[in-house]
Amino acid sequence: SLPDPSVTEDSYRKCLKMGVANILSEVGFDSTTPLALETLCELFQSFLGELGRSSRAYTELACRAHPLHADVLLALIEMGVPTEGLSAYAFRPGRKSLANPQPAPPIKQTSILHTGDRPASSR
Amino acid sequence: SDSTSLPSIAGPPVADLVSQLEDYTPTIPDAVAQHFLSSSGFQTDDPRIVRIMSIAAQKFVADIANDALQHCKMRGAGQTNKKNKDRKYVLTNDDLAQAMSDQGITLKKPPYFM
Repeated sequence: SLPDPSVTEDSYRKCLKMGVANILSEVGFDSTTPLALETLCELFQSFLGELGRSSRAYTELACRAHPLHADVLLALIEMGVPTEGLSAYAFRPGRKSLANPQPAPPIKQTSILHTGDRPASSR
Repeated sequence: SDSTSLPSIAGPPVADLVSQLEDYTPTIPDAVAQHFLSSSGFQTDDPRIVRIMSIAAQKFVADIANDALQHCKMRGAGQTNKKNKDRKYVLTNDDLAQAMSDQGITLKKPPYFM
């Protein structure tokens, strides 16, 4: 599906920032400098970008249009990321998760402002 | 088992993991991971594949953050609260740069932004 044009890149970044901050507090940090948080967000984003690009390349190499998890696995190994700890990490105790971002409620049409009182006799 | 066989490159465990991701909510919302994946040209309808990619990225970030925390502790940094004697650990770019250089990533301070 095409991305919703009303959702900007910015709102995803905001959400990602919250998620990364969540990971940091889970690791044991109490706070972070904005620059370091931004760096980690960028790191996450480029990791995911490279993983996506590489997985797609493996999918297309196998003459498929839809990726399989094996393609992702190959891409991870190609990137030199160890895959052993993934399962343990995924189901680690005490993990938190953020809900999917919800679209903001639509702005209500403001009603026309009435000024002055209409004299009752003129009706 | 015989020693000549190649070590299995984590075939079954990850395949098992994928089958367990049907009802799983990762820390980073699926919609966010999906967005960044689709901006790199990766399209899938299978939420499990998005989740495993998201988990891999999260683990990558968490490992680096953990390394940075160790560097932070080793430096003896952290403001000590005299009252209850617990430390506050603040993630700084210096610790992050060290943790990232352990992974082979060079982090330089951006020259144009402060």
